[in-house]
Amino acid sequence: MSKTHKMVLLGIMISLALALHIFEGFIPLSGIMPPGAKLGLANVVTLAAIMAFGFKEALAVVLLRTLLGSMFGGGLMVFWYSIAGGVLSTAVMSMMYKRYRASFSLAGISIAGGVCHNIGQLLVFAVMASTGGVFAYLPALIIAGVATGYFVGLVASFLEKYIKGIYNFHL
Amino acid sequence: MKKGDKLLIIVLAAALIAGYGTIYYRDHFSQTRATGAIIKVDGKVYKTISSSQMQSDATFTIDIPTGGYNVVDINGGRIRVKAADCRDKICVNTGWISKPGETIVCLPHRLIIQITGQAQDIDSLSY
Repeated sequence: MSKTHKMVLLGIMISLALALHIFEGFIPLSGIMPPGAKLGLANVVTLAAIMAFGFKEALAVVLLRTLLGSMFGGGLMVFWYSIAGGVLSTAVMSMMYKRYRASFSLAGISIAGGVCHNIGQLLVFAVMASTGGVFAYLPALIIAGVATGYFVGLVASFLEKYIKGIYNFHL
Repeated sequence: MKKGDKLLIIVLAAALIAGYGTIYYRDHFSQTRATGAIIKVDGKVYKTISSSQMQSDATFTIDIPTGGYNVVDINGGRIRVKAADCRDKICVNTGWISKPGETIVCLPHRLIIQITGQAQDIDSLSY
């Protein structure tokens, strides 16, 4: 794959992730989901980037999406805890995909990523609020993370065969 | 479903049982009782609410120095953030809290509301 080809694909991925990130902000979830839980739709794109390229590229997609996402709405504090969750979940998902691909399904990888995202966020919460009390929300967030992570993983597994195809694509 | 997935399910289930077990213990068996609530903004104590004040109804607005507001609601020993102009509304979605150690956090406004608790000793039961 040429450098330009890769750059264009990453650009598309970042804009897709950003659009999903902003879109899910419009979906009201209060009352259904525990505080702080999100659908994590943008995680589909993170998984796609991991499948197509690898950890470094996926991390770039996550960092830029979070940066742009908090510029469009969110602010500095939201940026910090999104980035903590994003980096942790990307690292865990990449490692699972690269090393233990044989023993995990994509849904499993996505679920682990979702739960790690919540753990990363809560760590920043706990440090900034200097209280461990926020970890009381972790069990509820794990349940939410498993539910949303499963569907995100399902979407990613539908994408899998098309992503394998990008390496055979020539203009 | 692969081998690793089953392992993941077991690990998550264990974490859930441990987590909910701890919360259940805190709420049902722990010998602490709520002694009021404490509200902190940017690490500094903004207001302390005693347990008697917690019983009476009150609604007040906290103006955040860096801009914004949170409307706090107290009712029958419970406290919540009723409304806020922060971006993520996590504080509002947390809802009512009343048990020692429960926390509401509004990170964009650096606001923390925590129920304070004190270990209940035998003396306090014998009055």
